[in-house]
Amino acid sequence: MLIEEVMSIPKPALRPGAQVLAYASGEAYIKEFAEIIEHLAKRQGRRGILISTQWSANALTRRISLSKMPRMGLKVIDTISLSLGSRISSGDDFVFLSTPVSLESILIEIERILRSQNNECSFLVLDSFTSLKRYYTQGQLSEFFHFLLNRMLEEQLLVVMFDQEAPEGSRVSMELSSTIDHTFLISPGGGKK
Amino acid sequence: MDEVNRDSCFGVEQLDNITLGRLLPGTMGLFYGPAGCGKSSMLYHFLFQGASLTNDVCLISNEPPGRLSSHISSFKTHQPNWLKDGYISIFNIQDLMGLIGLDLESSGPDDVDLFFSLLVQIIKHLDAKRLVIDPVNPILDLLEKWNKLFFMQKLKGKLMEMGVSTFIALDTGSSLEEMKVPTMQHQIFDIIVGFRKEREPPVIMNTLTIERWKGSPHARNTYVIDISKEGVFLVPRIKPLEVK
Repeated sequence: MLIEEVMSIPKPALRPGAQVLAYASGEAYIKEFAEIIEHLAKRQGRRGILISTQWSANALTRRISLSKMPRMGLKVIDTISLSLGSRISSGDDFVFLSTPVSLESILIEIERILRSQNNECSFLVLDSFTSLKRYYTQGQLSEFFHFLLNRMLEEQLLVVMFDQEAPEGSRVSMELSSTIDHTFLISPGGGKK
Repeated sequence: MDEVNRDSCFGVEQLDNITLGRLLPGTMGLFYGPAGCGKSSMLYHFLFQGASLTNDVCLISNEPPGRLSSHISSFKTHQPNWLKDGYISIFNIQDLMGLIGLDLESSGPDDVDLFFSLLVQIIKHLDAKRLVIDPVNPILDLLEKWNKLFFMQKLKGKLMEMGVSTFIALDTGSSLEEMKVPTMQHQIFDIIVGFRKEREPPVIMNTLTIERWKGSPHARNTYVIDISKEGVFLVPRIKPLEVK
């Protein structure tokens, strides 16, 4: 389990601002993703941001039982519902962007959330790095993550990103894994490699 | 941020981070670009920063003051007392010209000199520490007509003496060179920022490029501007390094 793995990291490495990249696919991915959101937002009661590139708002609600989350605990930047034409759930916790949209729009929404929450946000989760790779070039993603990870470090947010491809799947992925604090390869069934 | 630093900030956090703040009293800056690109909203925040330090600030515009007041008040970053208590003074350019009977059709070159004195007197009377002229185009039309090449230069000199930081907005096409305005010599500006509308379907983005800061050419990085009631945010413009 990712949570167990994160917890097993020596404490100094769990400081605010830590950056984690988890390679997981299939059932393990779904399970770990849901678990980390629930752990951070529900069990620990932390405020955070989820960039959703994989599931629509309604699908996400089913995956991670958003209705049971503390109100205003999790702000979701949803880049998929508009593109899918799915029914948009109401509520202040969602920001809807269509994909492909400029990556700057995602950065702007993050800035807005950070400001509106008076720096109470303590984590950011990106549900799928793989989905972004479908739409954006390597150069664009490199610039995007360079800025994003720096900003998150400045704001001392814990960052957890999921990649459904193997570590050597893309150059951006390899670049990222060489600059962030921890990478995990979670095999089906939940074991770490 | 201490009081001295806040005094030298522009008032948009990310812009101050990019430029390291440090606006000296007497600085004159130029924001140019097509209308509707975010120049005015950025400049309102420049005035808000001055008003937040209980300095008097002045906005000269060609819009009716009533409409401007409600636009300015729509920002959450604006405090209601700034307009009510006169920290922010708004003047309409045509009204000011009308005060001395100045108009483009019938005025002579002496009237332009009179207008110069009027501007300086107003700023002096208000003891304004920050001034915005948005847009400067109606004044430029007048200067062009009478070939008043040194009006802006003289104005800068006066404002520097009074320690007034000034920003001027110029409505143009996409490049400053296209304008070829002899009365707006670029070298008088310590700061030049170009605004553009970039189309990346389905999105249209307003961007800015800092072309000159503190008198020397800047790295010319481009930033996307987001304007909402919460204020103004800048994020780097992400450009593809290769064609997909």
